Amino acid sequence: MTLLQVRGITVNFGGHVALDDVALHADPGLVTALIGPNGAGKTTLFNAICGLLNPSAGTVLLDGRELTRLKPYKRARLGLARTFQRLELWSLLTVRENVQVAAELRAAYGNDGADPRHEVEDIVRRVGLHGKIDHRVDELPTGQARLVEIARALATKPRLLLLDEPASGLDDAETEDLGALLRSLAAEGLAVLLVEHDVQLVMDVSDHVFVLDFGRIIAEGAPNEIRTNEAVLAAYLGSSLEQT
Amino acid sequence: MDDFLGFTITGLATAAILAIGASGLVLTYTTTGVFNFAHGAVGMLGAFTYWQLRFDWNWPAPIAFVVVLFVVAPFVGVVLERVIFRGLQGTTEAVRLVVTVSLLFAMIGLANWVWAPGVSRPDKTFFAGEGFEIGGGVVVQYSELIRISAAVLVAVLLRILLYRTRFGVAMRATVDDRPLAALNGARPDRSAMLAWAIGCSLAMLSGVLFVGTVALDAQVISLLIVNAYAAAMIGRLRSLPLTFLGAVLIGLGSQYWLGYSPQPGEARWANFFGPPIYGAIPVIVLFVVLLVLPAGRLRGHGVARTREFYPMPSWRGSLLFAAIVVGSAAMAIPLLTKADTVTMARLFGTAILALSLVPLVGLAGQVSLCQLSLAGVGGVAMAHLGRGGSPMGLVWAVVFSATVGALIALPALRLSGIYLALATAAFAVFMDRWVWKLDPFGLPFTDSVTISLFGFGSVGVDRLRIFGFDTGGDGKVLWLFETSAEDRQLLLLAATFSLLALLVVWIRRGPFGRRLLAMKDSEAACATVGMNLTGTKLAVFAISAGMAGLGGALIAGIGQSTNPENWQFALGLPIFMLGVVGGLGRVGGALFAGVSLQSLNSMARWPPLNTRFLGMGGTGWYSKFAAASPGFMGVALGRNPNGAVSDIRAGFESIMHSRRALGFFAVAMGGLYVAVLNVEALNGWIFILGTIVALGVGAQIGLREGLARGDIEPEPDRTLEQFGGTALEWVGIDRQVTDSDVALLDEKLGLPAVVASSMGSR
Repeated sequence: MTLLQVRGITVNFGGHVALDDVALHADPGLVTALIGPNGAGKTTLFNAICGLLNPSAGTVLLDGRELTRLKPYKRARLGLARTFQRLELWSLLTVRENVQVAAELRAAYGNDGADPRHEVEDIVRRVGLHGKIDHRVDELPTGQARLVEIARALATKPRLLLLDEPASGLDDAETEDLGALLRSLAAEGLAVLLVEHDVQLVMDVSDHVFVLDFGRIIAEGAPNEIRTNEAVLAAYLGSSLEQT
Repeated sequence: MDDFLGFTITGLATAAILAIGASGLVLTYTTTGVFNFAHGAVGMLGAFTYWQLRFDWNWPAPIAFVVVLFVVAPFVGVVLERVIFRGLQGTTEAVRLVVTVSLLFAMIGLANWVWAPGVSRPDKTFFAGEGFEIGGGVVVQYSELIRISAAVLVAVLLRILLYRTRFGVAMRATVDDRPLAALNGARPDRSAMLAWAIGCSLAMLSGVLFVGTVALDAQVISLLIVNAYAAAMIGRLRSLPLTFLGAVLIGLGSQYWLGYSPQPGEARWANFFGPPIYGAIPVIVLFVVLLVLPAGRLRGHGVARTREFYPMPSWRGSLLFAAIVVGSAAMAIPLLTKADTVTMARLFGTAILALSLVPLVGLAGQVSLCQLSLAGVGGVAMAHLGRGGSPMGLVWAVVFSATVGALIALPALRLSGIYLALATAAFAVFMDRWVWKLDPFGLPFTDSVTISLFGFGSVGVDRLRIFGFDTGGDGKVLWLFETSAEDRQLLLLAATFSLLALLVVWIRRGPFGRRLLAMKDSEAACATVGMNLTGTKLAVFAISAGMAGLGGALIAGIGQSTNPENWQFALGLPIFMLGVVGGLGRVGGALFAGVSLQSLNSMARWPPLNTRFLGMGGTGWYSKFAAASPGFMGVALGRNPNGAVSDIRAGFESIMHSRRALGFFAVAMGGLYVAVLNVEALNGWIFILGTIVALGVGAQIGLREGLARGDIEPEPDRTLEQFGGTALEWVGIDRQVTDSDVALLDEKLGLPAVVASSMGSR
């Protein structure tokens, strides 16, 4: 059963067509990757999915329910969480407080009786930042700050997690840990939609790949199919894919 | 029909002044990105300078006009750009707002210093009384014709300047992308300087055209520009043609309203809705325009990151703070004269109003310039619904002001920064010009209810009786010491401030406080974790307004009566500015605002400060300076967004950590207290001055000891300042990389110095 369905999303910025009739889907238990060169429209698509941007046409469905007219916070409450390519952490707060705000909100609107304080520690430990839990987030290097964003998103107990370049700024070992985290999240039944430039990571963790170029989906399939897809090679990946 | 023609011409002449003022505002905003709240004050200085040259020194009108417009105005513009506005590049919108609001305040203070208020200044318009008839007995004054022609000329010249000249193109490019314009050969600083020169000339032109039509009053003329804000906002701060159209709509609309609305006596509601609303029409338009402006996208991080950080207040420290506040007030009672006790009670009243800004401005990052008007709502509620000192008066004060606060928040749900500041300023001016001025009026369908806010002047307020305790009576408190009614007011205000401060600390420490800080930082991120921004903003506006209303009710009780003059927009500005200077992220910043505002004013009673200075002004030079100084302080703010309280607290902490400093401070304070109690010549203000000196000396002792022990780092890490104020990523783009940059980078990265010398010698 597909969790997220995006149908015919079109976004215009003035005369420029940023997204042109884009369709994709993400399923529970799977890591779905969205790749494409810079400026292809990946972040714009994320913004349209989570409601920070109103598309000119098209629909977004979560579990069969149409989200297109819902405000961003209502979409979040339905189980849609995201991270940002340009970090949007609350730099006036500590790592703990960043995650806590999300957990407390979730406890309030979810009304599931969970104690946010315990959850916060568990989640921060899970992304490997327990040693930094009481640090201010703007003291952290970019890579670790991205992990805080993931932790904050997880604190909302999402069903769908949109990750916008989570590996940028991470070293090799940290990237490997991130890959393992994504696989374990998917194994728990979460639908993960991943935008990432680290081709190795994409090939290692994803179950299904969509390729976006100039605002259009030009290919989709299993990682191995994408690796050999002529159109993708021509448009974007070129030699870097062949090397992997 | 003839009336109609007459109203139209007068309306167009008013519109012309608005259009000129508004176009200057739009010009400087579009070319420099700074919305200049002080634009009207610049115009006011122009009006006064013109009056000085033309009517006091009897210069010929054309010469006075040319000197003001083409010498004084560009000079003021260039000086403002060099000294103030250039430094605002890359600062947050909040800092720009405070600096320009402070500038407005400082200029009003300056004008009142040079041209004492309340003195009659004969003036007249150009060709006063002369005109020509256009049929039907309608006379067009030459002065009206001059105003309308000036507006048309300004429109044409601005169009040519912006679209037909190199300077215009450069100016427009500068605001789009300053570094990019610089890389393409434009000179942004020069364009900005020209924009400010022209902007100030337009401001002063509108100011000069006001001369003879309104009384020369610094505050009145400066705030007339709020009318022009409405026109500028109809042009969405971008379009000059729409701005001119807006000015015409407002000018004509106000004039027709004045002419055709029912007069008192003609209709039941005329006292309420007729001519009294005339002055408020432009601000109503402004508020409505702000309400219907399309919403911007949810705000993420700004490009200019703030350097603010407010550590979590501890319960222990906060309780200690509250206890010290109440304790000091109680201990001060024997030291103070009756007048000083009242002043000190007012000090805490001001501090409560500043405290109401802590959740709103400090935590949530919203802006409000109307706290004093909200306090007025509380004051009026207490006067009418708290008869006999009933605590229900306080409850109603909170309920009414919180409700009004939530209504004002409506534009805030979609707008931020300067638009929000404008909406709240519009509300405050609306209260000043209309609501506070209303004579008693009846309701439409019944004769039995008459609503009277201030009667025909002022209204009495009963002092609070709470739990059987009369804060307006005298006698022993807690069987401990004798108190007068004034002493009890002081204790009431100090205790209320302390309790509200603890409430604010509780908010800051809890989930709601975290949400507010998160919202201040990134609204986009808040929305994506499920936060309802609308509800959160409404709540914080209502809480803040409720606190202000409570403060207003108590302040009204101190004086036992209240009148519209107590709640004027301009009086509220220094509370906001001094709060920001003190640092609105902490409750200490609010106390700083109260202490500094009341001390500044009260010290004028000290004889050495009450002498004439260079013959300026009517009374002592100090009171003039005191009136303007919150403005000066606010203008100087740009460099320290955390406010002064951080520094004071750092000094205090160094005392707490050093035995010698603590010992010195305790002995000094004890000695001072005993001395003031027993020596007639010393009074409470000497005690406060002495406390400040003891704090300063103690902090120095503590700092030295801390440095010697190595507890305190000698130089804080201020990377931005070390790179000469340029953000690291712009070094090499904004300016050339220097050897010292490279050396500094190497040092930060822990690289050996040899790298620095080899790179530096490229």
